[in-house]
Amino acid sequence: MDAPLLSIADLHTYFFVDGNVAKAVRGVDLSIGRGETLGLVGESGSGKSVTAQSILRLIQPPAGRIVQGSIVFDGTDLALATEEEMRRIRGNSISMIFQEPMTSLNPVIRIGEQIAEVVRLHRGLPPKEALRYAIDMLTKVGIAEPARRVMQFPHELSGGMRQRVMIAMALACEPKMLIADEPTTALDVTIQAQILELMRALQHEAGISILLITHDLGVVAETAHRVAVMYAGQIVERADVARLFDRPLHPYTEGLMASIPRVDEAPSPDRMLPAISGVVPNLLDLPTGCAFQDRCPKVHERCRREEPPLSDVGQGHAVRCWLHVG
Amino acid sequence: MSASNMSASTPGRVLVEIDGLKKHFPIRARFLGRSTDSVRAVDDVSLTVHQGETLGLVGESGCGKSTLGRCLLRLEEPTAGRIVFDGQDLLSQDRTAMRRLRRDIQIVFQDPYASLNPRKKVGAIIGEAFRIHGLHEGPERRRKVEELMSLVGLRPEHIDRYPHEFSGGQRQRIGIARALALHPKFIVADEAVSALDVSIQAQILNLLVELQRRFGLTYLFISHNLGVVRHVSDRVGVMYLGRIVELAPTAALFAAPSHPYTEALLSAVPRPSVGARAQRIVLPGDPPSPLRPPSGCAFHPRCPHRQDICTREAPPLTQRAPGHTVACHFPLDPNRSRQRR
Repeated sequence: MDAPLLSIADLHTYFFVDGNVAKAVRGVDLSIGRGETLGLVGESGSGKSVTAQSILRLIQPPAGRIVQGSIVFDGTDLALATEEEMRRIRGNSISMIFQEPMTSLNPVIRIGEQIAEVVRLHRGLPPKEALRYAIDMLTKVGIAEPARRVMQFPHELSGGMRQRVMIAMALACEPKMLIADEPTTALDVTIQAQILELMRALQHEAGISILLITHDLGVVAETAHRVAVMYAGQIVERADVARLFDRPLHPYTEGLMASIPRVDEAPSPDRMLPAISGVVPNLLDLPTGCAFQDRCPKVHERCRREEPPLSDVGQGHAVRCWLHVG
Repeated sequence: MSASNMSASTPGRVLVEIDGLKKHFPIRARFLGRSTDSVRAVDDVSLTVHQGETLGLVGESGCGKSTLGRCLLRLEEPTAGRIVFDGQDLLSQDRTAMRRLRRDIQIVFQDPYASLNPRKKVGAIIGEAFRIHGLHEGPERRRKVEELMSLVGLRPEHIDRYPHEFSGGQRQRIGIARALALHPKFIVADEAVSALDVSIQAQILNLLVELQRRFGLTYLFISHNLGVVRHVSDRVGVMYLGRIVELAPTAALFAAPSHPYTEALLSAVPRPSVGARAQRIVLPGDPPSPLRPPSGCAFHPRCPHRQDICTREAPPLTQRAPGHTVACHFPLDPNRSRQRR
């Protein structure tokens, strides 16, 4: 296999607020190959979005800081890059799309101008050519009547179309990697299906790598090649997608999968879901040992004393659990 | 006993009967202008909810499912139609009578953050209904609130805390305790678990199922999440652009949907398992605007099976099987081979 396009090692991103330290990301290791989609899954506060923001160095100082670790992208350590270098990378080699396209589009600028601006800034295309390029991009992301749409404002488009515009902007500079942070969470399910299909087709065509951040295990199962599951700022399990869904090993991953009410399976006769008890630990006050200990049905004495390492159990499958130290 | 063994053939007593319900929102052309147009959020919906059952209502944004739920509490005044609750005509009640009836009909909202007053302590929030209705004065009220808190899995010693001191799941428990305070018969759950993380969502769903068993509650469960709706509902209604397009017992609807929209909706949900990566029906386009609904069947511009008649005539809701109705000129064959279930 080629060297991965992105490899993150021992990343720690903390937030310093009122004399407290919230350890949002605590030693994340992950890599993404060329043309690969990595699904990063977790619930609120698991650190998945902070990991993505760290890659693009969007963590706002002085409160937030990458305190340790490296983020090597295509040979450059982004953790050490200057702001100047980062500006060249953002939108050029790595671009990002977010959950709510309305907040990332400028409401008073026409769609076409917004896409054209990206290519003007990053590639120095003259305005006329840039606009023509914008129309091409809209065609590519499946927007009908692109020549009319470029003249419209964001509020004139539906949510699904706005997300298509965001994807067009993100891909305008032919990036090597796309970070998609809950790209379909705000969309209806029939529109989500359209956007996931589009992302798959574009990846196939352009061979870009995608970091897909989501809380939805269904979206991951249908789009990712490999999956990393985060809990309380750490990766607790990592495997290729088929293996993870067939044989989840971490009690959190298992619990999460069991607690989803399935659209493709009848519920148990008593209609009780095997729920994970309790709540996520406070990042300001993490317990000693495993962060999942208080909710884990398989907790034992060692889990309360020592933090388990992320250990490889073979075939690219890694688990952070004392039950599976390989 | 709860609804889980209720089937369409042996319905319980009818608790809620909705007949020809419409809710149109007028659109004003300009300032002080006369309303020329209206959004038909709910357009001629008729359905019944039986005592002790959970009726699920699904559909995408703007289909009118939440407006329908709000009409049942008269948080919206319907434009036309009739709602009979427990034998009484809901829409003809005066304010005093309505206040009495509201003890029996409660709602749980999606956003536990937005629906709780941040400046009130939990005790006051849950006990507010007692105050309004002049029930359980003094220390008795506090005891009742503490009882409700234990009932929904909150610690009674947290009675003097504020909403922000609770997690999202706990706040939804507060909302449920508040809804239960007056021993209602009927609860409208409007996207009640949609804002919650999966692990917390399962806890709250279990709580709702337990409470239903214990108190014989009847639920109208509104959600865009089809997995959640399959899990909790005895029967499911599918809405598209203000109308019910299909209504059936849950098992029948998920096993063999009759309406092409239901089929596409079910197939669009990503399955959390890898073997299921299969052919998915991807509908073209967006749902149409309820301001200018398409002619004929509102679904026809996106429908893979449309014929000429679909563009001209709106199909009526007709019975396919006992308890299974569908509004489609060309309903799908229930015996066809299915690619995805």
